[in-house]
Amino acid sequence: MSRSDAPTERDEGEESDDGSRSAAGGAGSAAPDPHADDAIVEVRDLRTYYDDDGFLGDDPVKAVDGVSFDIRRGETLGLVGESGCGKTTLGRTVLGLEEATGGEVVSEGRDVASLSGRELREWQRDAQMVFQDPEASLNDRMTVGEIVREPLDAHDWGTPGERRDRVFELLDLVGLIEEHYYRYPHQFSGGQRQRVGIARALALEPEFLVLDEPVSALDVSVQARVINLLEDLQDELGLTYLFIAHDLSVVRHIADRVAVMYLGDVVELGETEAVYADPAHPYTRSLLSAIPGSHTGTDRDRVTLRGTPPSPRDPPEGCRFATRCPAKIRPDEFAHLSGTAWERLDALHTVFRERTNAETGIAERLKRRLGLAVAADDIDEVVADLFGWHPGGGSTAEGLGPDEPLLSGEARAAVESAVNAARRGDDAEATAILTDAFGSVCDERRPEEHRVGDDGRTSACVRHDSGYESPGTVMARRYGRGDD
Amino acid sequence: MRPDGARERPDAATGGRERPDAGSARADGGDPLLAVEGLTTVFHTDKETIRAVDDVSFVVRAGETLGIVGESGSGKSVTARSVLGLIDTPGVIEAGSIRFRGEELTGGNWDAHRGDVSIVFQDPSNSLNPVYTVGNQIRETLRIHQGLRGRAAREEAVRLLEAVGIPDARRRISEYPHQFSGGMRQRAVIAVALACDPDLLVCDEPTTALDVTIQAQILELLGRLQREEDLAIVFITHDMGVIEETADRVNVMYAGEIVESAPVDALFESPQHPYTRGLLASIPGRTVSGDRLPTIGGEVPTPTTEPAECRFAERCPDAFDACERVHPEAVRVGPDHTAACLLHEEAYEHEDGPSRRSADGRGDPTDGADAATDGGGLG
Repeated sequence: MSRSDAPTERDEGEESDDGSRSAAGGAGSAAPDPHADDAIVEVRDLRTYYDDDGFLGDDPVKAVDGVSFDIRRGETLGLVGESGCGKTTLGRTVLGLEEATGGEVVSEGRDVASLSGRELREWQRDAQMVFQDPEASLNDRMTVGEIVREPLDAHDWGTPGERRDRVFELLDLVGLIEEHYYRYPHQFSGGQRQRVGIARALALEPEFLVLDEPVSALDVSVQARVINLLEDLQDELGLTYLFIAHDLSVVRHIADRVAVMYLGDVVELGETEAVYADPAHPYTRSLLSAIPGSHTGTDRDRVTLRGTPPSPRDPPEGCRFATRCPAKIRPDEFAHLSGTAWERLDALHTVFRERTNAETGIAERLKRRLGLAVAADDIDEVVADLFGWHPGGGSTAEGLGPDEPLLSGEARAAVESAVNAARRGDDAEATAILTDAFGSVCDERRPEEHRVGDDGRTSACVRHDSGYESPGTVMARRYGRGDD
Repeated sequence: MRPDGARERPDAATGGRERPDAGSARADGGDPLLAVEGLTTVFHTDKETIRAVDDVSFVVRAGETLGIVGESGSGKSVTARSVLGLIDTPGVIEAGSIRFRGEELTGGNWDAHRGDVSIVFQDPSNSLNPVYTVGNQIRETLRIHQGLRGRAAREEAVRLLEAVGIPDARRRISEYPHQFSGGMRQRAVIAVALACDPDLLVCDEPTTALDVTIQAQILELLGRLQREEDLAIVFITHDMGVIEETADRVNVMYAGEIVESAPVDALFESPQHPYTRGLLASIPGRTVSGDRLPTIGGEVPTPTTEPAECRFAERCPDAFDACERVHPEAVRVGPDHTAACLLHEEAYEHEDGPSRRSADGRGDPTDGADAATDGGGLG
């Protein structure tokens, strides 16, 4: 794991600190590690929680909650997921910009979180970040030259003259010209500003870059040029990228492997083309099916996920995705229920969950403490809408709800008891009753990572256990034709 | 047919060609829902006059979705705001007509049709007032446009929130915008827009700030509303994928002008304007990964003078000499399909095709600044 496989040194200034670099490389190779040939960064059971110490003692936000993966030297690892799933936090924690709550990020045999002094400086030099918004990440009062030079100054790189030459070289590298040295960020277009951000990140010749939505703020034609630039730079300098994006087409183009995140968890990770061609995890399937347009190369039926991810303060206990999962395992005793009935049950479940988590005023909290009924009418209406009967005994308004009651027997009894709890204002109890009655193994335990396929792909879904139908089969049956 | 009538074109290009936009409007029989003709919206700044929308014509028929696509600075949003009469100084609609059901809107007649046309903006958190409950904001619109008050307004607001797919609407209605997630906020904005019972909904990048899963929900919702309420929609976006899914017809805008207009299938199957082709090619999903993405060099210019040339010529891989002298007019290139490009003007057709100005399939970068954005920095 010596640095000899690093890109060719390109200038005199580089040589000056070459000594310290190989020293660090030597320290790294001393620690035996099975992945050492391969991995530039190893993330192990990483957790990052944000605790706002609110006086009401809220749970912490579990932005990243137990994530493990490797980033291989020279690859581009794409990281995709909806906003709020923890992509950015994960990227920042990997770089040590956020403090990890648990787990570790290991690079060259060192735990990044525990670095200090010279080693920390080395890590900060070797790993850099490019931010999403080029408007916000460049200081408007500094010229582009100063912006790109700042990391060199901070790390006492070479002599002032060498730094200056290095900046010109960097500007040239990212396709800017000498005159731009003296200009201010506001004189640049979005694409050019992102180039400045990239030049700054490259100043200290890092090996590893975290790119946080680097092209999201750009128009498609400018975006294409920046993507080409990033790919050229990677080839020329042997860089490793962690490429965070919500644009799935961009990730498909640029990433060698892709990790799909949902609510703080990596649910699927594998070779990009294989994942896009045949996603294993139900979330990946749904996410990819939502890409608009015909150029996506996926001809699966669209599965539109309902609602939004649950709050990371209070993630589901079992599988994180269970509350929205289109392939969720359903208990045998209710196998006879129709797809519509399940859809409505899920909707009711979501209503209770959201009510439980709703920010309530002090007055309402007090009322609840005192056991006063809150909003009983509202819940009656929701039930009437969804299932066609009125828990309060009133008749359903015309045109509301389905023509026939969707539920009967045990199912209806369970819903009624949940609704009664909700009428008392105890939404948490209502949620629990529904989970009890209609939940399954998906709600009980967090699925382990399963190896799927023979290309090292992992997917964390209970359905990969033998004895269950695969997610693809189930989704195809429940939501149209599918491709299986 | 050209309300400003001021612009001169070389005779070679005119040739008694009809304006296909206006033609298709007439072919419809009665008045289309919205007819925009020769719309020119300019912004007067101290330094210069920016022609953000320059002689744009299109029609929207009842119940259809017209997509407007283009990069930032192409004039999409200004077109939308012009249609709604939302242009403020230093902007002014300098020429052209906007007719809604045959009635002229320009010249201050918007108030007569307020509520018939409604708009949904890109960022839902900026279009809702954070200090009023969501219900309050829907009821305000109901009061102004439909005269509903009290319990009737409340019931209607609940119905609207349910119609846009917000569960537990009766409770949600007394919540504040910050208690809604991004997707729900956009649903609430759509509910506000629907509260005035519009016939035409202008959606200005309504899903750009949203995740792809939420985007799919919103697109599904708009499709359902369109069917149920027979809404016409003008859908503005820079995302070609979204356009492909939502639009019946598409206008491609560049530097304030419509450069191509076509039914959505025709546009994607056989784009006729070099800019449209470039735009489609630069979508990452269309290129095999590992290959370089095709790009369009340069940037969208800011139009400050009346066009005497093709505004895309500088970046155009197919440009030839005449492109810098002649302003191309929309030419019929297929059924309901027009492109404003000299390649399609017979007067400029060469026996052996247009002479390519640059062999590498790229417009010549003319100065250093262009080279810098051109993406070829690594030589």
